Amino acid sequence: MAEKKFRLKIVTPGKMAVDKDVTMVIMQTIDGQIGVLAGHEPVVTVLDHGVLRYYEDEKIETMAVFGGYAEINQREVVVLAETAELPEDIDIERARQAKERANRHIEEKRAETDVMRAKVALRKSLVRLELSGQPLTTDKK
Amino acid sequence: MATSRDIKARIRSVTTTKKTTKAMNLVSSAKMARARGRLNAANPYFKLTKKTIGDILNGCAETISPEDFPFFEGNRPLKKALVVAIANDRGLCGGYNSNVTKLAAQVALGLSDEGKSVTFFTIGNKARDFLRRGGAAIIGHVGGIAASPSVLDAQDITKELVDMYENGDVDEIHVVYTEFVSAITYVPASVRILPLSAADFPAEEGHVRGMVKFEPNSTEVLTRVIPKYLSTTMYETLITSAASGQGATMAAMDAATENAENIISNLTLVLNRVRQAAITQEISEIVGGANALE
Repeated sequence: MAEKKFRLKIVTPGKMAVDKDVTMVIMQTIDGQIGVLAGHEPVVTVLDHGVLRYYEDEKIETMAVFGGYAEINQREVVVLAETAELPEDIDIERARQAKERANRHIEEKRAETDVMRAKVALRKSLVRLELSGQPLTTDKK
Repeated sequence: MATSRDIKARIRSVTTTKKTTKAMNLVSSAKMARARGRLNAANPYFKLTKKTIGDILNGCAETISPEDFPFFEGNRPLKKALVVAIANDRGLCGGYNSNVTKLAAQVALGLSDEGKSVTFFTIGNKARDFLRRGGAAIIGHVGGIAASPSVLDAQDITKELVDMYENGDVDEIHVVYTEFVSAITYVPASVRILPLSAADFPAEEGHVRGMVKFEPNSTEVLTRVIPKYLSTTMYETLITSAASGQGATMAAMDAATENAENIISNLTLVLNRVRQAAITQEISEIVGGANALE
């Protein structure tokens, strides 16, 4: 059975990343994951840095979304993010280095703001690694 | 009368100037193309942000009262106004800087007529220089970013402005910038970014707004989304100003190059005339000398 579709728009200051008809979206809000189907009640929610999944018929597409919020209404879902990255955009080596650097900063516990910044960096690098299908183990060699 | 040597020297100097202005024209046209590209790329984002914020503000107008939320109009009396003026860091761009600072001064005048105290926040060194000359009170300045502002610059500036607003240093914030209409048309414009009022966001035709639910809750969402909206607006005004500023520089340098060409062709004419006069004089001297010998 063909499921009902709705419009998904993912927009950043740099580009219109996605503008497609989809059957379902799963996104990471600051309060946990939510899945949206067509005809969802109107909601505005703040997104965490995370991987967003959307279902286009049989296909599942993923995208990393950073610093965004989403408006869900009867006809469409609009995600407004600072940046959005496709799996192929991600430089795995760089993300891994960023993760290690962030971990180091957190362990060294420098100034308060440094640790906060490092935590955000860590979160972002983990999202990138998750999106590119890398194992997420945080143990060190 | 100028000797042909003087004229040649002037032609050389004007030719160098022409080379410079031509180069500046090319540089600014490349920069304008880039700023314009970024503006076009970000346009859907700006439009959707405005629409979403309009939906949010109208959707929660009944459930949230301005007393609870400092960003909303009606939260406190508006006594201290801040005018943010965006211009270039450098001159050589025709009337661009003075047009935008003139509008900033007008906006400030209107606000002080309403009995508000007015201070300025300037972006771009020329905005600061122009307004300071007019004796304005400038409480903040950012230089060096006007030509190619980034999203991060916009976030930093917004944070500074929001801090001032939340501390109660200012009660309302206006941004005066230059709208990029086309490659040859730029219009100075002014927008109030704080406090927010649902009335500032009329719904588009055919767009029906309803009640909006917030996840996890309205305060959490609004405190996070509104700063994002503000920095988006800031980025929009910065980038459209940057494109306009580069366009104005381009036009000014184009005019300067054309002027240089005119001067060169006039000087060349004078030079030829002087040379011809010298030759004629020499001939008549020779002829006169030969006649005297006979």
